Amino acid sequence: MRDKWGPDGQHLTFDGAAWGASHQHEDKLNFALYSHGRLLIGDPNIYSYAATELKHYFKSSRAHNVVLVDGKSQIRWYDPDARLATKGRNEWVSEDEFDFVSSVYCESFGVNTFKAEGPPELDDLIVHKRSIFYVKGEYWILCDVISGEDKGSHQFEQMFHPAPIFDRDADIPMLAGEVSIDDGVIRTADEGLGNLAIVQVDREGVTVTSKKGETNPAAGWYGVLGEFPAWEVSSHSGGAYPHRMDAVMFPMPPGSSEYPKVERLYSDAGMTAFEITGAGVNDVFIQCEPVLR
Amino acid sequence: MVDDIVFKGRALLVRRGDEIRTSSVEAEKIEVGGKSHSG
Repeated sequence: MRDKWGPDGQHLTFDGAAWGASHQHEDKLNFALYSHGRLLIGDPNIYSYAATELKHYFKSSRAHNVVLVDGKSQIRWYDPDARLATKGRNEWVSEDEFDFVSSVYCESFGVNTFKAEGPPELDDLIVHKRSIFYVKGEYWILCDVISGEDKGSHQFEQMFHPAPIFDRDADIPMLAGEVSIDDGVIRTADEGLGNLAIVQVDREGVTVTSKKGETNPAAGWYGVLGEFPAWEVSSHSGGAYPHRMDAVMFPMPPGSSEYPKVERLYSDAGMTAFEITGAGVNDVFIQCEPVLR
Repeated sequence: MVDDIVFKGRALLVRRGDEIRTSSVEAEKIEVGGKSHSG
């Protein structure tokens, strides 16, 4: 989805595809977001195919902008059918003023540990449905709903990978940049550059953590120009299925740190509604979902 | 202030400026403040 072509445009790429036959990462529903002349949310990629902890990390869901359930990653590597096909319906609508995309991950989740002995125990009853609504030239609305069959409480991690600052002509071409976390708002804070605020719709009971360049287990890396320590931000929440995590992703031009306030109006398993006001925006968003399970 | 909104469809964005504008996905019915909208 994009508003126009060229370096001053905005775009978001979204993955609703099969696991594939090469560059097979556990990353269905991943996205990358570009605005104000820079990549703001990126895919950490991969640097080396050596059998290291970091290669394992780069291929895992944790190294992508997806959702983990009880620490479990998407797992498709065991399924030969996943190379060429995926399950679930994709939606794509593109109009003059907005783009809309949605997709579903309903294959398996499992604990994806480096050098684990034997295949992981797989849970194929979890369904992650993600949609993104793009108000062209302005901002994105991210809606995640996780469904399952049991009645217990679960932990959810909505992952974001703020992209490092890349300048091929600089003495130090890669910098991790600055990330600010305040009252459920994740914000890149790089002076003189465009930035992004991710404003959670529901902030009660939500904690946000950030990691950079950690090992054992690996967290916070980017596979460009080497294995580079970069920010990995997780929004943690808990509860029973179905569980909803909605957010507004609002790009800000250089010199601005102004982003809108987001207030919940309504939510249940089949519907979300919230108000987005401030920073030049005065909008209401409503989305209805078919019940998945 | 949130106007009364009646919506039947997949997704709806209501933009409130000098006039109300709507953008929608698979909308069967949109009413904002008692007035019908399309788009």
